[in-house]
Amino acid sequence: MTARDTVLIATFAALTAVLGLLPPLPVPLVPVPITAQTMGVMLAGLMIGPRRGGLAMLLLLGVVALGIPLLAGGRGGLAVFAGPSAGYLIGWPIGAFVTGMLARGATSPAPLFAACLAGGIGVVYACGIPGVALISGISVPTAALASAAFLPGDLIKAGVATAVAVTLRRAYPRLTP
Amino acid sequence: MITGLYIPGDSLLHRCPAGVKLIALVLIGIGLIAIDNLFLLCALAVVVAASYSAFAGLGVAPVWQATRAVLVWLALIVLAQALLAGVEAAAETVVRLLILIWSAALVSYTSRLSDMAAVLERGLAAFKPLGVQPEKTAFMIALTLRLVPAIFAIARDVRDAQRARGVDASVVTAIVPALTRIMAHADAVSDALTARGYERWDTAP
Repeated sequence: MTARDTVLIATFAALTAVLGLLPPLPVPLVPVPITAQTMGVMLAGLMIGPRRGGLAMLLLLGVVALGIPLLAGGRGGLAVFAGPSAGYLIGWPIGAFVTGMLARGATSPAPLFAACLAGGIGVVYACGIPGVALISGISVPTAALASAAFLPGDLIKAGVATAVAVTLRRAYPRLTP
Repeated sequence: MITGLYIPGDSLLHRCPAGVKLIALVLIGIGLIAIDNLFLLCALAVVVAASYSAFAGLGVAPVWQATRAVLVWLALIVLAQALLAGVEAAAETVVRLLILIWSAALVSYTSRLSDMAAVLERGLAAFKPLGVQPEKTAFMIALTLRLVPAIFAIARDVRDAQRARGVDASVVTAIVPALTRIMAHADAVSDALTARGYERWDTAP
């Protein structure tokens, strides 16, 4: 692992933490506050590729587990891995990896957006929903229904992440995952 | 500067080694699966909540702080469980969850970041044959903690500059210029690391 790999992994871990600190985005018709944090999962995959992107999310979770409250809403510590949303967190590294894999070599918006949908939403929900069901003892369909509240916000984040990735690859050509 | 969840103190739990607390936490997690008596679970919850005051000298405020983070989830569980599986099942799930969350938070509240990182480093040493480098992981954790305030400052600068120019600054309009500067910052840091022999450290025994 080169110095550049190390710094990029730590940078995207920190960036995802900062996205959670920013004030929540207001999304119409959605009762839950939507933070930009999960956009970090998509951005990590799109911007620094599958391996480094996945490791960046793993690093963030590690720092959180050590007791630093870097998750949205100032959450952190070991308790977040005991709570119902633990599955979503476990889905972050896998989601970033899958996003990066699917986005490899793509430059136009459509495949990048599809990569965000599959990795940043599909994989994360696939890990999160069974986690909710397991820890809260409710059925998987009920858990899926509850998670649907986050879907509009996540779709917007996928759109923003795609737009950012397209623009940034042009503004910063040295960055090729 | 970022502050951790650690609350300084000199109690029994503060002095207990972080590794011991983590093993105890895992045992509690495993033990909870076996217990399905609601009365026993409630008693255990009271014990865990009471140990915040009795063994950690923290009082009740941190208990509430740990609970508040999952309050929405608790409401959802009560609603779904009480309707589908009955009140007793709902209470059991909630109490079991509270015990686990309170215990986990108690470990975080009473363990220094450096002690937790030392446990992690020792744990990662077991994966050395797989190519994991524990000292490098520790370095990356420190780097992340340094980069969070740096990136936050960049994001704030960009938004301030946009506001000064009369642009309606939002997360969306700020993110491209902010990310451009964040990437340039990452380049500068990696050049500085390379200049200080980081790549040689990579291959050193």
